[in-house]
Amino acid sequence: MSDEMDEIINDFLIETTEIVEDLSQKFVELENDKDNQDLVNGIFRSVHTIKGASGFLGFNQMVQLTHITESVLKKIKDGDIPLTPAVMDVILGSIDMVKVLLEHIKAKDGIEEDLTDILAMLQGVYEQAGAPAAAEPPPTLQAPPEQVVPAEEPAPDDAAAASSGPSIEELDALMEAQSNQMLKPVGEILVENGAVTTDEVEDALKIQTIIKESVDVGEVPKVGDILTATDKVSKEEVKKALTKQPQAEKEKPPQLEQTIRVDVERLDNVLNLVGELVLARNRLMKVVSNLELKYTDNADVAPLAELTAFINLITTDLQLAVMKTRMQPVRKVFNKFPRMVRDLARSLKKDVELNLSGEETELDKSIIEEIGDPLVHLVRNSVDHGIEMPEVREAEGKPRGGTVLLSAYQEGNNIVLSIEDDGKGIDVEMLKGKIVEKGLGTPDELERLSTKEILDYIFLPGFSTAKVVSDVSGRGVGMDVVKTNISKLNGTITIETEKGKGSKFLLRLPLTLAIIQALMVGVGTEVYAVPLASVVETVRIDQSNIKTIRGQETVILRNEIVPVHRLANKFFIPTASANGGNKMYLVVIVIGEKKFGMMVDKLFGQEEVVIKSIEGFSSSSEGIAGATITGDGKVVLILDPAVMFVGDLHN
Amino acid sequence: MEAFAVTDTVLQLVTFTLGTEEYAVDILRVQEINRMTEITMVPNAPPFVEGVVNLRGKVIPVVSLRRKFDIEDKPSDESSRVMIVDLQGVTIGLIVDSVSEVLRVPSDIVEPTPPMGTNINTEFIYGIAKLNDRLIILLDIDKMLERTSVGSLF
Repeated sequence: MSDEMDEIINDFLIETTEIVEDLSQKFVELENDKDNQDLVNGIFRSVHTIKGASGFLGFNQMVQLTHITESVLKKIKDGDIPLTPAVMDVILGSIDMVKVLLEHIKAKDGIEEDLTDILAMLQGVYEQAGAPAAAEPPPTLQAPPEQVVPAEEPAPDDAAAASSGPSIEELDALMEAQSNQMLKPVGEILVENGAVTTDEVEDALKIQTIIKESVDVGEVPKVGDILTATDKVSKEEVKKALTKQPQAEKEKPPQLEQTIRVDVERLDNVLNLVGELVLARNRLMKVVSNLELKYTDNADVAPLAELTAFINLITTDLQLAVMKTRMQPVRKVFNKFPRMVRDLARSLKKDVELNLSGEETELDKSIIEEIGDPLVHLVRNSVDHGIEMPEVREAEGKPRGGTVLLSAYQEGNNIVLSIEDDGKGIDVEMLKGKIVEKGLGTPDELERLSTKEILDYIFLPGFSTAKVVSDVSGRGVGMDVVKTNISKLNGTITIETEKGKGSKFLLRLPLTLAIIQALMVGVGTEVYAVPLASVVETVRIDQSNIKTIRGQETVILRNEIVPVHRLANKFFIPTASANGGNKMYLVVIVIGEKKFGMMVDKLFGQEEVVIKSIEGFSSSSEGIAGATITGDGKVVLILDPAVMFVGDLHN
Repeated sequence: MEAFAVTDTVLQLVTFTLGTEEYAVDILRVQEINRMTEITMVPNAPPFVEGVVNLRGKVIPVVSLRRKFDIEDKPSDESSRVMIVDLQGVTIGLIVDSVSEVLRVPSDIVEPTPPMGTNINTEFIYGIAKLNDRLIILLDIDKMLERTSVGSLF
């Protein structure tokens, strides 16, 4: 396939994926707000857009599916079909199938899905509308010929037969409005591209009008088709012009944001350059302050200092602004939850309402991409384990319907995502029983732990409190994965719960992954950065504190035996702390459930560092997580303690 | 990318020295030539990897060509240079004793590598250019460092 075609298909995929994501959200909204005509029209238009574009590109299965979905939607819009949850399930099913088809198109595997079931279900819903459709034969399952076949001289019969289904006045009006919107630019774009003259387009439009008048009902050939049929322009030109249409169309609805797509790599490049600018500014400021001391009398020094201060200000703002370009609203993640909760609640026969708040809160793109899975898990848990069955709730004097609140807000340098339900909460006593039963602790030990510490057991691998394993949750895989994923993002997770009242899971995440807090440590002449997230404490120790257990060096910290690893040995750095020596520092690190100490010569303190990858090195080779550049332009390596001592930890 | 681009039967080379020998790479592969800067050691990296440096905000590896070619180490001095080259999409620095000049040589003076005996690795030598009484070793830098299975160089 040619590159040009690939590009067109790529654009189609991006557009359609966005539309589909949006659709799921709109459908769930619609279910709660059945009379919202704007919403129905919006949905209708979206489905129509997908149908049109896929027809044009020859994705026939997609056309079949969206065509009948569109017909069903039409009936819903006209009030011929009541919007029951069952109908909604079928429609949502068809949207899911659209997603599957999209995946196939993306993978270019040419696999055709078996659409029989979903088409039959849609057909069933469609026919359920009953008798009033005497004048309307059911929608044909074949693709309407509008864009698939370049209609040379569309025989009126064909057109009428193919599109007879949903085409009545109202729909026509809608399509009209849309095709006007869509058709005009094709001509215009073609003229702009120099493919045709204005006169030729006008001729084509005349032909179109004539056909429109002679054909009462049905599809009117598109200007592009007429132009190709009359050999005024090549098909490729029309395709090129058509690809420009979606953008042109997008600018029209005022509610859409004005955005452009930019390759993330380009943004990263800008971010990099700004980082360099910051370093240069730091050096400049140092030089200027030296000059100020040296030449206090010189008249030129004061303006220079002033200018430097100004540059300082602008650079800081610029850095912030560039960081912001990578930020995306959490809405992107939150959007999939209404649909998910709805489906879940229906399959569990529960009554659950999902409320979202703070969707506009922004997070770094990389975090947005990673946070989806853990959130899905937590929301599922809330619906499945948290919210009780309606009868149980009623018996306890709660409203039948449970509520799950998903919210996001900023708290200092962190973003907090919270998942809160008003369900049954976590029974701490039961949890204790479970811990003892699994042999993870003795009743005595548990007595001494705080509620919070006991709740932390939930995050251990293989721990599940659900009595019954369902397809949704309860298999004990998950919470540990959630915890690991959140830790990878340098975030933390905490639980608040009250029996009978509900639970709340709080995820604290850094604003961006690119910047972390690090502890700068020194070994010999080398300096390394240790991510602060995994550091619990630092202790000064002497050689005399170290005891060996079968060769493994350990220290006793508040009655706990902590294995010690010498960074100097690990990295083969010749220095005093490699073997023996006094006045060393132990950086105590916790990875998962494992605690160990890393011995270094010096501690330089805490610093905010920007993580950069090292070109040509595999990402986590030998415990190096990346590098950072300090204020004076030097490169400092960032350690990955989890990888670094992993071999030692296994022993 | 070809190791050497021949335009109108002319090769454009950047020549540099290592010890007493003169080497060259294709000019199109050289991004820039810098003075020595402070190099941060990377633990457990191959011995010929001198460390990493900051190239305008990018952290790039620096390879000692002396060590790569088993030539005796020599402390860097005023004439030492870091040649920044593009190697299969990765920017890396090569430490050389000095950078001499930019040369245009006719491609027909380049001869294939002569057989050297068994203990000398000639696989990353593209050819030898004979120019008056000079012998310039043309390096095929792509062959010098191969990507590992995970796509990294080291």
